[in-house]
Amino acid sequence: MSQFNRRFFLKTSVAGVAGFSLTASTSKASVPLTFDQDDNILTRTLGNTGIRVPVLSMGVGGCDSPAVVRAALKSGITHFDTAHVYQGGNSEKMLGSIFREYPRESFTVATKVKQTQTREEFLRIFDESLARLQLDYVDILYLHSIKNRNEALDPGIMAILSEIKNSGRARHIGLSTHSNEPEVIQAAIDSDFYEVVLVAYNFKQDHAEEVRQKIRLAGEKGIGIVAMKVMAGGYLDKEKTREVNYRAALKWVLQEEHVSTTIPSINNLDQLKDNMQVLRSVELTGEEMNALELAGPEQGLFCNQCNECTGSCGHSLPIPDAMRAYMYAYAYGQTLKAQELLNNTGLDPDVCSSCPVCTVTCRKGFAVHEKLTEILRLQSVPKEFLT
Amino acid sequence: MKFHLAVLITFIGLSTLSGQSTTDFPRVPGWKLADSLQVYTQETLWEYINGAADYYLKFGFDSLVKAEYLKGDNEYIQAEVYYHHTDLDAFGIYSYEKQPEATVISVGIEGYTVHSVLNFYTANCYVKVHSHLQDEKTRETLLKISRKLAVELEAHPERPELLSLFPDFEKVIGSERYTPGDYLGYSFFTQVLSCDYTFGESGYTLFLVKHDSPEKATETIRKFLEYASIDNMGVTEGIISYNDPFNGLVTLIPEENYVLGIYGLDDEEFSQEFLLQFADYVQGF
Repeated sequence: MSQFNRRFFLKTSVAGVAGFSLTASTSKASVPLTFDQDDNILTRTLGNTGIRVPVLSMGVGGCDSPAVVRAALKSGITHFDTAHVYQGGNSEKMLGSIFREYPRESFTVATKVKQTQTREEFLRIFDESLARLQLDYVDILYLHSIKNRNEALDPGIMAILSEIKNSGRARHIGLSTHSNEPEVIQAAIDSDFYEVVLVAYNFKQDHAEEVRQKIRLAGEKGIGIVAMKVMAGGYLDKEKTREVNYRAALKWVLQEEHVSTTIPSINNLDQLKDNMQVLRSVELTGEEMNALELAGPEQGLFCNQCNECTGSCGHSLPIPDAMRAYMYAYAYGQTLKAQELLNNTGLDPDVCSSCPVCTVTCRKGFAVHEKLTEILRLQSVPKEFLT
Repeated sequence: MKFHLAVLITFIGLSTLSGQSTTDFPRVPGWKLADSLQVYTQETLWEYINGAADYYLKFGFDSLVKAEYLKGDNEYIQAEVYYHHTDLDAFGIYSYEKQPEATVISVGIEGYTVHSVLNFYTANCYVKVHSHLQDEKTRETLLKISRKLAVELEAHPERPELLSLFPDFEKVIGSERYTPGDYLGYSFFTQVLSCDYTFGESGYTLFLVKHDSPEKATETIRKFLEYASIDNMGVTEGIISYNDPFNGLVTLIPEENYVLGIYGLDDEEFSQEFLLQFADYVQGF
């Protein structure tokens, strides 16, 4: 193993730059990248907060490159979403190191803190977030990942959030949710306290219409709505070979006027460039509309147990139970649970072979026959191989 | 018992997950290990760590197995084993989350403690052991669990060999990083190792982009040149300097299966000379 040349460092640290030769061919360039913003950026007001946000914002959960954040700012994105737990704190730290280069009024930032056992712990965590961000205040503080009405309306946590707001360290208070969304949004509406809701909302959700209606109700009450998980996982299939049309997915969400902005994860400069087009137009093109229609039936792994298929099978097989077993096996890796469920149905592993054509119809377009044949094989696997 | 090949392949895949979910968590006196483990997959990790899941998925996350140790009514310790695709992935997420103020300890390949949190990495696993209790006795228990778990996961762990490609002189200790993709915001910089160095009152970062062949390294150079709008005639043997408006001066050179780079200095000549020295070092490795 060769030794690193220390003589070079000693020479330069003492004498400054000495003359030295470089290899034959060198190339250099200084070319500005085209992330320039213009006056045609679409903005919406975030409920009654008064914050004017571009329709496209940036989720910083997965981005570790300051270059992408700087390019986003240059392109006209002004709202950034992070959380105390993202990247072990490095998401907030990265933003903090960049924000100090910009006037405070030129950007808005939201962070999130989860419920804690004590008031002191919550305040400690929030103050840690502020320190990482190198800010005196955040524009929005979300109560992170709320799953039901009780969590949202817990008087203890609302008192802590109120204390923080009154201290000026958070301009507005919100909550974030990606489960039981309609219930949680309704809780926010009923609270007369939460000013912003960050909610999972996308074109592939089974209950998208229900979520949208709650979004409208909240919006009409002056609650600002920010949409997340708008890419619905990013793929149409479980093998992850067919990508969702990102621009179409973003625009679909923004068709709802009460959604003020979206926070997709933007992890590199190419993604930023692709998404930037939405800053100027949310009108779905024909091609984009077709992409969404094609994507609609591609629901991936989950049967929503509507039971509408039950009568369409010639053998009256318990299709919903078998599809639930499929979900346990492929979505959660709980193969033992899947096998037990199948055993309880009494289904014969070869039951489908007697039908020349499958008559089962699924309103989500599941390939029921294919999935049924696949999951029934699990019954033949010895228990010791399963979890 | 007969299996169709497709069925066998399917269940080999599922059985791999089975092997990970039978992680043998150690028992410690005074604490009861909860009967059931919680397992999260790529599809369900979001339910546990919300938006933070995106970052773990970037680091080749495969599955998480979580155990709980209980004492009395309210006291608990949680042990989480994150299985990743490769050793570099586990190192990458560990090193990225490591706090500067943390105390580095010898558990697995390396670990650190801060408050009542002990994280370490070993083989392809990133392990987190933590408690809400802040007393010294609990911290000792965290260490005990971690040491036993580390041996269980990999009895003879080895630091990823590629980390030795960075020379020691003026290196910022503990600054090695692995980034699976999007390094410096470029989608074509994948599988990147980096390390920070001091230089006078400032510093710089050396990085290498790993490829399977010199041809693929050349391809990455071409993509960089295209991005930077540089005429790529004959540059694949030479040094490329680019004043990136968002990253500052970035300088690259191809070296066999690697693309080597440096950024953080404003001086082009220093950057190029340091990069050449790095190339010599890698060549002699």
